[in-house]
Amino acid sequence: MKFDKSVIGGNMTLLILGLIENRDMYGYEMIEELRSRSDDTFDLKAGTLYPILHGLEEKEFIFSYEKQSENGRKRKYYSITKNGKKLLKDKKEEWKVYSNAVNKVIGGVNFGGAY
Amino acid sequence: MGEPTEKYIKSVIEHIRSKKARDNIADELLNHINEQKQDYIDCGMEEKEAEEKAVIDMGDPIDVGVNLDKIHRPKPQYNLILAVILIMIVGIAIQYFCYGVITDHYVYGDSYTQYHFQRMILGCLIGLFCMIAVYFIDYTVIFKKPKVLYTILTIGIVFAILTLNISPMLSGTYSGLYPQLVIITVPVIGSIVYRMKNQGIVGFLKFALISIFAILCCCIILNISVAVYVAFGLLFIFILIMKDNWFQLKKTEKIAIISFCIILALIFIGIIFKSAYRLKRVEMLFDYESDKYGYGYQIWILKSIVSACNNFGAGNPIMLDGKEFSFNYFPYIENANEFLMFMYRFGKVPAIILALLIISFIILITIRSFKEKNKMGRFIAVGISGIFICKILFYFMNNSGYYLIEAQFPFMSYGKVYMVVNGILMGILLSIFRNTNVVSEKNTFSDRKYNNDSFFNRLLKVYDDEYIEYNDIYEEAYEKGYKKGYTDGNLSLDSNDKRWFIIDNGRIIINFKNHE
Repeated sequence: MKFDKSVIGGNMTLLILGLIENRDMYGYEMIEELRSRSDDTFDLKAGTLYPILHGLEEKEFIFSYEKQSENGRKRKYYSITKNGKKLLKDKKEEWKVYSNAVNKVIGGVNFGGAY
Repeated sequence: MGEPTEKYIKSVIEHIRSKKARDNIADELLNHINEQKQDYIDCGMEEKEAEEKAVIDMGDPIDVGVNLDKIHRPKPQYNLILAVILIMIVGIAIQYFCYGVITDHYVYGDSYTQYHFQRMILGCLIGLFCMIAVYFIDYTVIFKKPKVLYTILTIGIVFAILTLNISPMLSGTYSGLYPQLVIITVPVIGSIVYRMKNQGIVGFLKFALISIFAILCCCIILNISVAVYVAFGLLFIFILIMKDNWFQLKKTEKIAIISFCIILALIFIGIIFKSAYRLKRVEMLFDYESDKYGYGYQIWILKSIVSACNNFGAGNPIMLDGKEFSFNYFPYIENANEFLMFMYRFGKVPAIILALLIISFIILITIRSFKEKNKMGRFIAVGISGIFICKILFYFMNNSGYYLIEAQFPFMSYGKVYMVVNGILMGILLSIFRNTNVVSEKNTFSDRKYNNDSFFNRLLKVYDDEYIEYNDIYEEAYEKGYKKGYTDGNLSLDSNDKRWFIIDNGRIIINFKNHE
């Protein structure tokens, strides 16, 4: 299923930070990981990814370093910073509230108000 | 690199104005295309087809280029430039409104206003010009070869003093060119330190050596105030080295180094106070009365002016000993006493407000310097803010009646030479802040390497208070790495959130990863 760009556009930061929360990754790996974890729902273009990554790095939510892989290829890894973890926590919270609200409107399951 | 890849990268790069950022971005995109291409080839595609498909997968190059350009662009520092201009305007206003009213000064008499006011404006323009000129230069170009720069500066100073003697002497010290050249060595040392990452104790010794040599230059020019400025700048660089653990020192090494520095500082202080004259100067801070018309004269006069100030409005023209006030008592009143004059003219409360504004400005700059993202810029900026903090600290001491060493307030005090050197220092600082997103430094993880049989390896500290043999580390690292999905041969993990182990060709490489 292809999505309207604007649906995930605003939440790209959340997804990327969530990806590298526990493990440092390089750009290509992120796209692959995102695709496999979301069962091919999020098919992110590299052209969209890198400006977001560089923007996050500029704001010091993530930082990058180079490391050589087994096959001698140099890869630029991204790692989350303390500030990034804080942002991720806020964004997760935000997403919960938002998705909850959407579900309420369109009639999804909502255990929050169950009694 | 095939034709479609080249075309794609070229059209992305075209839109990025910062030439420095281009190479890194091109590298990253090329790597990405290669990874994708390899995957397609592994799936059984032809090489040419795989490349074409990989490039199509990248998306619209113009979009990427434009978006990346927005990020990698110089950040204009209008606020800081404006702040400096404001300080200059305050300085000019003080010359006009505070010094301008002095008519009883035997050196300048009625012409005081004209004499200093005009020169102050000229000085400010020169300082501003220097600052803006340096601001537009990329600082990485200035500090491209810091060792050469350092050698030229220090050897040049020593050589010039011994043979040429072109700088004038004033009150027993060299004034003019030489002292300012020594001050410039501080940012140069900062950029040398940047290049000495992970050198361990050897790195520190090199830093100590070049620092001591810079201080010795101050001794040669017989200028103790410059020595203190330089020492402050170096102290700030030292704090940053320790904070970031730049040389990857162990705890014991750190303790040894700090005690070494304290001993060294004590020795220097001891040498300084071997001179009876200097000792007397410190003594006078606490007891000027005992030699009121000799060594204590200057402090007596300064304290008299302070005591004459009211909370609001002009001060009472009465000295501490009850005599009538006259600026003739103070022959060097025009020399870096702007703040005191402001206080005498407008009162203590406005003066304190002015001081607080200026102090918060300098603290802001210092915090920004310590937080600067680019490490080379960080070392240079921290050194420079150390110099500014030192100047301001002693300036306020002098202006509240505790005169110890001469200090001009950057951009507020009178003096064209100071304006030039402060302008250059501030320009470098602004250039660092401006280029923060343009200069991109690569962090590589080939940090401090240990061989298997080395002493360090056997006594490697893995967790706090616990030494583990090589084999234990290996096994534990391997186990953790295996759980995390790393395979044989190359292993990395984030134990303790700080340390990385990579076992590579029988060698263990340890990286100290810093998340901040």
